[in-house]
Order: sequence, then C-alpha cells, then structure tokens
Amino acid sequence: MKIRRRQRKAPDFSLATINIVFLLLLFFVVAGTITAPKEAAIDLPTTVALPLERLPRPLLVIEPNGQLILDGSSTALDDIASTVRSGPSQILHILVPAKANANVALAPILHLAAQGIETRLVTIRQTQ
Amino acid sequence: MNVDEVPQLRFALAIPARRPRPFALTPLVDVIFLLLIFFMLSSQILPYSLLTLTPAAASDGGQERVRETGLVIQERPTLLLIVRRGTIRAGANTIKSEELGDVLDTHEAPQKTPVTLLLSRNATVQDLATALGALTTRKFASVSIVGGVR
Repeated sequence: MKIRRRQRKAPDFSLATINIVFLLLLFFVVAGTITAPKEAAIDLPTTVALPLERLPRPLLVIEPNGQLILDGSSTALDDIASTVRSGPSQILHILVPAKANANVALAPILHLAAQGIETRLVTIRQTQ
Repeated sequence: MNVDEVPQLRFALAIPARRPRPFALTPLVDVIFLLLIFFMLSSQILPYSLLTLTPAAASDGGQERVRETGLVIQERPTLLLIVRRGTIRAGANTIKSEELGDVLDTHEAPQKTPVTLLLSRNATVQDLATALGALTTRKFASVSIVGGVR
C-alpha cells in the first residue's frame, strides 16, 4: 500500500503580519481618544487616585486669557449651553491649563452651572 | 482536386486554462497599515480622570434662590479650606497642596461634612484640582467653591 504524503504548504508570512497589525489597530481604536492638536497641547492639571475615564465630547477649552474653544472652534459663553443641550452628551468636559488662574476658569463654569449644564474638569492621573 | 484534399494549415494557439487567482492580501495589509499609522498619530493614550465640578441636579436653572432671611443655620460644621498658590490653609495650619490628603484622612465622618473651598486670587487650576481630587476620593458630603478671595 502506498501512503500518500500531504504536501506541506509554506507558512504565509503576510497572514501573520496582518493578524498583528489588526490587533494593534484594535488597541489604538479602543484605547485612544482623538483630540484636536490644540486640545492635546494643553498641560492639564494632575490628580491622584481618581478612576480612569475616557474623554468624550463636548470639550470646552478655557484659555488662560479667558477665551473659550468648544470642540475646536471659538465660541461665546452664551452659546455654549444651547450647543451642549443639542448634542448627544449633556455633560461638558472642561480642559484648562494647570497653571491658569483658577478664578478665570471658575467664572464660565459658574455661568454654565447656573444654566443647568453639568461640568467636569479633565485631569491627568499621576502615577504614585 | 477534391476540396478535402487541400492541405490546411492548422494553428494551435496555446491559451492556458484560467486558474483561480489566490486572494491577494497585500492591498489589504497596505490599507490597514495606513489606518494603524493614522490612529497611532491622532489618538492620545493618556490616563484621564474627570472631576465633577457642577452636577446637573445642583443647578437651579439660573434662578437665584432668595432666602427670607440672610441667616443660614448649618446643621453640621463646614470645613473651610483656603486654596492659595501651592498651599492650602485649613484652620490655623497652612500646608502644601499635596499634603491635604493626609490632613483629610484624620477627619472624622467626611460623608457628613460639607466643605467650602475659598479660592484666593492667585490660586491656579492645579491647586483647585488637587484640593477637589483629595475631597472627591474621601467622599465629603458636598463641596462649595467661592472664588476671588484675597
């Protein structure tokens, strides 16, 4: 009886590569948050021991001079509440540089609070 | 001469039989590499933490509540903290902002104690975030912020 030997196929290099690349892609899509260059450049305040969270929109940048940038475009304080209410998320996330004066940041936050907008300050968690 | 007897030239064109092409992965890999480079460059993998400043339920729709009298009677004593640049004054003691957590750990029943943060004019956002972070993790009853204190 003649035993037929199965021909061995050479392992496909591109298939292995694509698997790794798919995994990397999945990691960056899940773990990353897309930010505008101006938002990414802000030196955020640091906190310790708070839970980690993602950074959803809408994002309000309060510049040290009091200028307000909502999701990448300059905006007036009175227009923010209506824009946030019309969006999918009703929580406004605030980015302020760590070295900015707290009172400059507090004024628009209090104005928005009076209009019923929930606000959250974005910080970077420092490893202890 | 019979027609059938005419010599004929026969050409046999060698057309190879169509073989099924193997699935080409290279264009797919190219596109996925481009997507990978895009996400690597555009996304930020930073450990974000969010501090709640003003919960929605706390707002009163812009209507300022007017009390009948100016006298406010607190059921429980309020913890008063004066936030300055780099330091925090708690009672008679002035401590570094980073030491606030240690001081708050000695506080009894934080869940029942409201806190008022007085922000001095030179206080930075980092000072405010440090104080709020320490108070949030220890679950104080409520935190009120007053700005522009000398």
